[in-house]
Amino acid sequence: MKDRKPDWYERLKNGPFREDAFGSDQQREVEVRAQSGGKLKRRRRLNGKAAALMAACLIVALVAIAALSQPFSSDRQASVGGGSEEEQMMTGQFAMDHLQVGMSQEEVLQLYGDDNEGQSVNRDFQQGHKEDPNDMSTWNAVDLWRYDYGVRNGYQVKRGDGTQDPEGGFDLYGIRNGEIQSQLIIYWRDRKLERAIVKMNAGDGAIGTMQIGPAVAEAPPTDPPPADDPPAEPDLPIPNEGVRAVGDASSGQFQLRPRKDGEEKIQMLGAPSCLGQETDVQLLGDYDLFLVRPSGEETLVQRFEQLEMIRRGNDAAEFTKLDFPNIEMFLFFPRYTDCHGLEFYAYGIDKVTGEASNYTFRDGETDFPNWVTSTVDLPRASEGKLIVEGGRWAGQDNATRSIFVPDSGKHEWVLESEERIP
Amino acid sequence: MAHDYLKYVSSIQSASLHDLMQEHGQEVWNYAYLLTKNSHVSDDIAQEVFLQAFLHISSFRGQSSVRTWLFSIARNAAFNYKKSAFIRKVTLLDFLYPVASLPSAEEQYLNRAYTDSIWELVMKLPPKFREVLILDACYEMPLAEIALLLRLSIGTVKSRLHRARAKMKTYLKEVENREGS
Repeated sequence: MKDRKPDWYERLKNGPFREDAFGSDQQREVEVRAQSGGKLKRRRRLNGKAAALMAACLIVALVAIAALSQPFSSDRQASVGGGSEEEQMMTGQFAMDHLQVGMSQEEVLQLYGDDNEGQSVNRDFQQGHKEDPNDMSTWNAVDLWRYDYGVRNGYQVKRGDGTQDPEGGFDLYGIRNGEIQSQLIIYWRDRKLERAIVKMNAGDGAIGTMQIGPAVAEAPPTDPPPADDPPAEPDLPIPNEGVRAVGDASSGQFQLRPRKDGEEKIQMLGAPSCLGQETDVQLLGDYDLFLVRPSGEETLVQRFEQLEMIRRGNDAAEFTKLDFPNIEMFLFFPRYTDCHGLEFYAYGIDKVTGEASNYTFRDGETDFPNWVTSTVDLPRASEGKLIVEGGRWAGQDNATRSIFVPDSGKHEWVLESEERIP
Repeated sequence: MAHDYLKYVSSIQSASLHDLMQEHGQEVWNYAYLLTKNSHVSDDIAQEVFLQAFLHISSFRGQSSVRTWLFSIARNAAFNYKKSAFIRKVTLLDFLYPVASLPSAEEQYLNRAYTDSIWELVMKLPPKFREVLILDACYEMPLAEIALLLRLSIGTVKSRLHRARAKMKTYLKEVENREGS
């Protein structure tokens, strides 16, 4: 149904002020600070000429520095022209000479900068699952960074999935055809370097590989995969029927079900990205969450409008259970992985009354229906508190650890404190 | 969209930063002002937004528009500002030395500078209603993007929007009655 806007909306279209508050002086100040790497703190407004002069000097200095440090730069717009071979060899050798297993992310950032693309995935395996160090698809969590070197101007680097096997993360077509000189992928375990792999164009369509860290399962042949092979399509669930997520509690079972009269849309993602694999199932629709008692009695706990879920197969997702002194707590993650952070909802069952309720998250005066966690470090219970490590949101350099205490009367997790973590 | 290509780049050239500020600078400043009601803080936040965009362009994945991404940085900055010790101190002083409820000189000046008197009513709305209303009405942002920016479900956004409009309707009625009497 189309939203009908009130007539007075027209009066808000032009914004609140007639005069530009963010004028050229302010913009120039940003440029000066940007060229200094953000280190200059804003103290006072420079006059226009002084700011322009400073900006010009800094830009000239930065261009000179950039030219001198070209072999180790990761400028994706770099030309593949003169000196590219040296740059590629330097990059591979540089990686092998300077990277070590166990290095921290900060040390790598100092060496290579933050010009990388990250991928993270967190997998739910059944209890007793064992990881095979040579098979990434068996890892509970994979966290990687990819650096691209010598990308031909205008070429769009293929963003593959390196969380199943290392080969998938490289743009082998681009490297083989000289569109990219080399790529470096670093895998992390507990924020420490676990392994690093460099692939480079070795001429005549060949690809060279260097790596540090544990042996990786024999790489599949680097011939291009049969490009037209469509991914195997799973049988998708029937829309508006069945159960999409469950949580087993001592007094019943949480069941998230699509509304029978809804318009649930179910499809495969179609293309791999940080949101999941191409064969992952995306569900979008209106859902109701019930607690179903052993007697068959159902209690509606929450209604969702236009909720999006992404999962690896057709089975119902399982809520994550955390135990607290007076509450059985269940967390629901609509998506199993994400580019930045995972959104989750919380539901509690009072151990005394058996009452099921939706827990919201209170931060000061604001009440949030959900919270967002890192894709790697999932929420945990500790001494009766809920510990959530936040992702690295845009504009924030560090992750945040949020500590919540329960208010079972108001059915809220109340933010008690926050701390910055590396 | 003019700056969609930014999701593929890892660094912004000076020229692009300039273009980005030209196109979105005033919108970001306005948004910061509508969140904080303080022009000096909005100056700082707007600068911080573009500086962070310059330094962290590689974290922009194109899941939202560039404008929404800039707004999300502004929102974080405004959030940090509100949580800072400085603002807590000011709030405490306000509590200890209550001032008359007259608007400050800055507020008086800015009230006069509004493009339309309706903005005075918008600024009276509680923050959570004001924010969702201006994103919808002024910035014409799709509900899904508002939900993404505010980290809310679409249902919650709809509900807040509904309540914000209802409050505005009441305010407008009051003004109409005052002017009519």
